Amino acid sequence: MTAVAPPPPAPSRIVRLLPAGSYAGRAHTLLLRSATASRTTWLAFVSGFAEPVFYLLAMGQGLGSLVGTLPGPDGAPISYAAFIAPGLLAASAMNGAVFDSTYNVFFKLKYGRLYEAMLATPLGPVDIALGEIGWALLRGGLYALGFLAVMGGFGLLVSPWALLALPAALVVAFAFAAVGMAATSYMRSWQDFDLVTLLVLPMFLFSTTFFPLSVYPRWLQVVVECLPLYHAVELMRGLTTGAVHLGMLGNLAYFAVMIGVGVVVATRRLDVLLLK
Amino acid sequence: MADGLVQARGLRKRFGDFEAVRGIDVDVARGEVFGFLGPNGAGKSSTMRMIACVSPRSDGSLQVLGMDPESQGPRIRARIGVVPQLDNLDQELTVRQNLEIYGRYFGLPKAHVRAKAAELLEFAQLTDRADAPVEPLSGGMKRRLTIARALVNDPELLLLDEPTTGLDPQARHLLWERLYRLKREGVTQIITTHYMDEAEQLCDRLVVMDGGQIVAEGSPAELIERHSTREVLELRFAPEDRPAPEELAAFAERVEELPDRLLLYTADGEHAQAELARSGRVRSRRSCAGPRWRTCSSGSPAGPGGLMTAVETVPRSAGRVPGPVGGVLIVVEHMWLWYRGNWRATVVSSVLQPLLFLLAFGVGFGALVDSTGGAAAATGVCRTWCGSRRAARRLGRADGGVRVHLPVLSGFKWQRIYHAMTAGPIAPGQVALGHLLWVALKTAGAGAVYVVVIALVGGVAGPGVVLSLLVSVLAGAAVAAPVTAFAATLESEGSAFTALFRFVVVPMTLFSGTFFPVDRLPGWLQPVAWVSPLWHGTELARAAALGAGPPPLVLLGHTAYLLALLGVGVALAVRLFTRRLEP
Repeated sequence: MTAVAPPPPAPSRIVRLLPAGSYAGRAHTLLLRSATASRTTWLAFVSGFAEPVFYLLAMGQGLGSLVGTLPGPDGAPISYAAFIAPGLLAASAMNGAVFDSTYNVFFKLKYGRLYEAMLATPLGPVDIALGEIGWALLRGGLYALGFLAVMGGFGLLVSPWALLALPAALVVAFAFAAVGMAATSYMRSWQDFDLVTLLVLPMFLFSTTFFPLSVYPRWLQVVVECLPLYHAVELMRGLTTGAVHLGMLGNLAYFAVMIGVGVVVATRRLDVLLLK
Repeated sequence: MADGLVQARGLRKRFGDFEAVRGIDVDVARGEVFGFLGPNGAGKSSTMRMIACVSPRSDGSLQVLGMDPESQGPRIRARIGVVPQLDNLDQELTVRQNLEIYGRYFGLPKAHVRAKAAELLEFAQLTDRADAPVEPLSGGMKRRLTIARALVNDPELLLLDEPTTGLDPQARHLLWERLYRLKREGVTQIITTHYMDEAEQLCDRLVVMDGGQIVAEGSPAELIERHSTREVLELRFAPEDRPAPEELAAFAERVEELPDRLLLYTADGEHAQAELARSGRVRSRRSCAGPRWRTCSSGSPAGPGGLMTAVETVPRSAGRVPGPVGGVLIVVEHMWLWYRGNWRATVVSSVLQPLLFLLAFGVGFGALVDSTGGAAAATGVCRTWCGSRRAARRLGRADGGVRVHLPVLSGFKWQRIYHAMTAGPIAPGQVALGHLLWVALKTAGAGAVYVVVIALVGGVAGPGVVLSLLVSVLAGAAVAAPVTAFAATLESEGSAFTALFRFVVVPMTLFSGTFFPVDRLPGWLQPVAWVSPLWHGTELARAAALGAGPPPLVLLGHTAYLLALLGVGVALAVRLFTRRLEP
């Protein structure tokens, strides 16, 4: 049987900015690989849908009955469940992306030597970075879709703007995945992942996911406003409650910067780590 | 060298101050099998990585398939196949999927890789394992699969980095046979090895590398002719009878001294042996001369004083079988030693995490519930406040309890420390008990830190707190025991645990009265709390800390539930550890 592997396409103008030979334009084959691999781990995959739903049930139903209503983004009172649901949506986008781009990538990098095998083929570091970030996104997008459906079922989606919550979740996931992957490239051992927990957990708890900014003293409010998850929650809460305003473009810009910095750093570091 | 597949001139590779390859010239022609022979650290692998276009050269020129790796890396890699020194198969895919997905990286169409995979499975003699996972394959099978994978794009050039290192002789010969077949099909091969016999079997031409340089070059026969004798006589002596190498110099062209034997390089091993016997130095009964290079290692001529019979008397400390408790404590000690080197991980998960939850739900919610007011808040503030405190502690415990699965899994799977322990006089059940005791101790330690912090910020203090600490250790162990048992059944850190965590542990944590009273839940969700060890633990700890709560009989019920769970979990863990660890 004769087989001629087609030569990778000639690099486009944008790609020429990157180190020569680092992009073969085949990042999608990594998606295929991840999808094939996840066939054996489908149970874990499915369980990803369940986690935020449990949180919504517990916090919305249980705590909600203690709290009653809260002022929404535009000042109008909303139920506690409606308040935390967009927060959970943003947090699950973050958690999924961070998990995929840190633990999973580190394992493949250090123990599986998976990327080493890929680099023996025409694939380059850019294919790997884009492919892995893309998978984290795809998965995050599916989870977000599932969660939005549950929110709809609970009657927590009251505005057509909520349709935009899905792409917004993808932007958030992309940003966290890109930065997560860049950070992973600097990690030396599993111990370093405590730092990830140390950053992600307080962010999950304090970025207005569960209670509004007004509970903090002013100086702490400023700190919280600097956190990426805060911007994600603002974005989601505005969209799902329909309180959309121009300031949300600022939130988006925050993520655009994260994506840019993350992708560039991740690619360059993979280049250094793998092609020595 | 118009047809040269690889052409290197003055090729160098530097890593910082260290120069791994110091200016080598290499030409590999189409269709030949070319070898790099040399010891570890000679620069063979660095050279291979440069040829494979995954390591930029530091100096010199390099052409592979007529192209420059620096600018045409992906195009070159599309036409070569690489077998790395260490197998890097995709553990998450099956044998067949490994071939198919790898083919897709080359941009080959789906139907093509499917057919190609079937053909290569046949080639690698793995057809009957096609849909099995990669992990349980033997070393030889994995190696064959890695080679098959490197052929998926029908490469013009195949790079093999130490293809048979670590394989048994049978697997080795099978691999050689496959490589001959490829050679007959006209695939150019570059092989690194540190075995001369392998180089001799496989290579048409080879270079010997040492210290980053080429020190000899030629066909295997030429090299042996030039640098070695036809045969090697191998002599073993008891240490006290061993003659100095110079004494034997007359019997061979060259004498080499190894720690346990002497090697005599000679044209005729048998003749030299007979001469030695005649001279009275060696009384030989068995022949030991082997053809060519050091392929003979089975010889054992009997020296005058007998053969390797010296038994030195070394003072020994006899091993003892530890008692039932002693064995458990040894395991705990092992865990402690490990922990001392890895304490940071535990501090974050056991101490900081619950504190963060306390801060979020105690302070954050306290303010929220306070400010919203209302009838519910009157009791709610107090209960959320006090409850969240316990809650956070519970949460930490459950989390700690659940996290035992990772060390357990790694004990079995990656580090095999449990196997090492039970290879000695410690019983599998003692390993399980020691492990659980360690978890309980750690829980107690983290809980104590937590209690101190609460006391410092002016929370509840008093004898009740100590009691609640004990209760929390009980609850932690009651969660840890069944999880440990479960972890002992896992083969890999696959989906099973993640699913268990999200489907069972998360709801039991959220709906167990930790963050808000259970009666705030809709009726149909309340049973989740009843089965959750966390709810029973929370009720007990809250009653202990506040000195008030449900009637004693109810508290007794909670205690009984936790004890029962603990008992079942421990029994299961001991049984499953035993099953897993016994041969």
